[in-house]
Amino acid sequence: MNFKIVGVFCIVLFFSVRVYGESVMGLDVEEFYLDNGLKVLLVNRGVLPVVSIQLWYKVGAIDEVDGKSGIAHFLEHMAFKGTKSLKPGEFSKIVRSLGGNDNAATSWDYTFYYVNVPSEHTVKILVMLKEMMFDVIFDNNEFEMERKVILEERRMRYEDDPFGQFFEDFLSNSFKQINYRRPIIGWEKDIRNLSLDDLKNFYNTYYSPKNATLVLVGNIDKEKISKEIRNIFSESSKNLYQREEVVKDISEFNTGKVEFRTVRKDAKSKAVIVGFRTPSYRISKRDTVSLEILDYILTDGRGSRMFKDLVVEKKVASSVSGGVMIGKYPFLTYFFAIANPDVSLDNLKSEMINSIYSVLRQKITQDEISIVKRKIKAEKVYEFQKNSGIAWFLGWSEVVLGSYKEMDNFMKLVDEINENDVMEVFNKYFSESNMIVGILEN
Amino acid sequence: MNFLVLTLAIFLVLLGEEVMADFYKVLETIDKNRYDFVLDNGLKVVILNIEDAKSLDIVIGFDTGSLNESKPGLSYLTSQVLLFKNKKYNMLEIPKYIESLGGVINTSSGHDISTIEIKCLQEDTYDVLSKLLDILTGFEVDDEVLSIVKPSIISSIKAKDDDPWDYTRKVFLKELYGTHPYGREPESDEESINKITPIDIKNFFRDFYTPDNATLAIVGKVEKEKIIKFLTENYSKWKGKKATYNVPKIKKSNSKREVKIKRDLKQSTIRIGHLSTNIKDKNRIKLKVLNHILGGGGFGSRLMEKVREKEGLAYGITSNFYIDRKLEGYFFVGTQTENKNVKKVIEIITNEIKEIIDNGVSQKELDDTKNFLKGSMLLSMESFSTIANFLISEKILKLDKNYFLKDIERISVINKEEIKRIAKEYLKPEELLIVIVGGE
Repeated sequence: MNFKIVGVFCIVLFFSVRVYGESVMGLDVEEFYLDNGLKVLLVNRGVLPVVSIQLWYKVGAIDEVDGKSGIAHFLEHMAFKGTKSLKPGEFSKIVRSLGGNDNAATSWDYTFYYVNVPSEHTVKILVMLKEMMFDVIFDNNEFEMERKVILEERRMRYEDDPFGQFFEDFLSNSFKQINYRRPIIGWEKDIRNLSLDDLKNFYNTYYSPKNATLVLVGNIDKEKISKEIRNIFSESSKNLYQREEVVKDISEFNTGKVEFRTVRKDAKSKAVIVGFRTPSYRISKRDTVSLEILDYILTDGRGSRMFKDLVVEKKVASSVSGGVMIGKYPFLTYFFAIANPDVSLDNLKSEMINSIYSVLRQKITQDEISIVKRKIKAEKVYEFQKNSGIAWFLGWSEVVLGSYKEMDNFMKLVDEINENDVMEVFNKYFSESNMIVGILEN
Repeated sequence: MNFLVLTLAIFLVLLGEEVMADFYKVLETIDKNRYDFVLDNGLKVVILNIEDAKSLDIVIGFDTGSLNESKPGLSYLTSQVLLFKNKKYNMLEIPKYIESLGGVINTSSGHDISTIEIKCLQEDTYDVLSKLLDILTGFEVDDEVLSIVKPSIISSIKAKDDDPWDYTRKVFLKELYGTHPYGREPESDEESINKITPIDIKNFFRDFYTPDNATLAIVGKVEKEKIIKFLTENYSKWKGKKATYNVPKIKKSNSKREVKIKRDLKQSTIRIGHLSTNIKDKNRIKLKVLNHILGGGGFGSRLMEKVREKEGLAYGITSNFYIDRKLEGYFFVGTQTENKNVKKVIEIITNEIKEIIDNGVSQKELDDTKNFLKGSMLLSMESFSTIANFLISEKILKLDKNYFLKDIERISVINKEEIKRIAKEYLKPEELLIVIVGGE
């Protein structure tokens, strides 16, 4: 064991906890809270002697203010740049020396840290994650170094990648108020202007135990590990910040059709994206699940309507994809197609829109819905093959849907939705005044 | 706890105690869940039962790829048209049917191996296996199919050209291997794709998608006797004989040179490397260890430490001995940095290569790497698809039974003197090819 970690491990306090057992998606989930507010979810799966440990914070790019974009993502980088007991970069080195892998991700609605590791090292990982929650050290040299790294990341993902820039343009054109309009990595100007104090303040505000959920899935002794978690994470915290769970409907539905073009002279690829502003799951659960089913019918697999129409029959696109972006706030449902060589983008655009609206001429059938329901259920089986897949769904549901138990509700709604529900959301959200159309051209 | 799980749990404990003598007993136990057999038509089958599983991964792998093609891109294009037309079904009916069951089916072709991979629920096992057999016995292709698939491949070639990382790899491979099939991406280029006819594809399919050239791996919940009976009764009817084909040899020459391609980008993508060995090399696993320490180990590697952590010059940097292949693979280091920093980054990379050759690695680096690679192997066993692909590679590349699992055993006995020796032997600074794609 790393010597400095032993020091941290000795700070042991006991707090009382409330414990619940829930069966969610057939998983026996143990839930409890520490007195400092940290929520813990445990799943023991008797599979391989490995565990996935994920620490989810209810903070992301939507919590940033104008001029400070990218701060949540920057903070995620800084969490690896040293804590009270860990030197910069040491977290990952230790994880790897234990046979594990680790990383973190920032989204608009959340930030999460994960470690997959042989279960025998669970406690060591928990100790280090606890340090990340309470004791990140903000060293100015490391901060400046990481700023350079993030600017390189931005060049790689957005500025030098035509598709990255196209998607960035799509989001910034989709909303005027909701912060999904901003790139998670932040605008270049903002990244350059962020200060160390900005990061410290953000950390001190949002990385509170009450604003976090710790998820462990794998081969663990729940009783023993619960005790360890209580010992390790029980540090009292003055920070009682907790993200408001009630979502104000700040939707921007029907605020007008938007059209944009991303021009990349250096690019060979051409593409079209068509999006519609759609609601938050928390506000319109049934609508969100209906939209999900509609998206599957239109774009999922070789049997989907848009693949058949645009790729096989009209041959205007080489591929078609889509997605329902589910966030805490109203977000987007989009359809994306890459143009075949020699196909004009205006032609692809009109064919795509025509293909989407063909739903009005050729109604959704119960057979199509039944196939989608089976697909969604099967996908969960595949995704739940790995501990990390289960841990991700628990954490994601907790921070985005409002509770990990919503996974069950989501699947129940999948069972309930019929063709009328799907047609209803189509008519409700897929209007021209709610549409965003983008073209990637060279 | 099921049998396989129990076995692996014991396995880990034993390794922790370094009781390697008992390792073979553990492998024997694993073998009880694995069953290998060969049908009369030459089809090799491996099944691995995982008792608590609710799904299956079925992979059929063919000992063919761009190494065997008479026209560039033929193997890849063949793999991409497999699911479209069939003598017994309407266009795309088979994949649509599998998807309607909640299954996922994909095809691919690399330089050495081509595969059809299916993921399905356990209850659909025999339905899906029947459809897979239909794909293999009723394959059809015509101009109509090619009018759909060719534009799709050409678009994906263009998308790869737009990605600086992918484009730099393409240039690097061409410079390293010349006109050899390893010198191009499996999908080749637009001009080559447009020259391929339905007859070319039918001939390629006839010559290489044959039972005696294939391995079928099934991983998940399987009833051994039932599945053996099913496969014997049905898959034995699949006929065909593999064609003989002389695999082209790689022309070795000193690759030391610098290739610069200017593009209007803010970053430059750098790829540095040279030709190396293949999967049969007895030092393969030692090279994996060496690579992990040099640049393959992410945040723990020397290159990541120097280039990202100490200097902030790149978001990421990686290296690899890309040698798990039939013929000579290659060693490379790759990264992306702001145009003005190219010279500095190349200097750091070449210095680190020299440093590891001259001074080897520390005992701590070696111990940490061994632990990481052992743990990685264990974590990879969570994925049925990974296991199935291990089994396919094992058979097609004619490796020992449980070859990849036995990497753990090989890793355990490596010492740092050996790493220093192979660094000297396999890293060749005097042969480094440097490819830079970017501005300035």
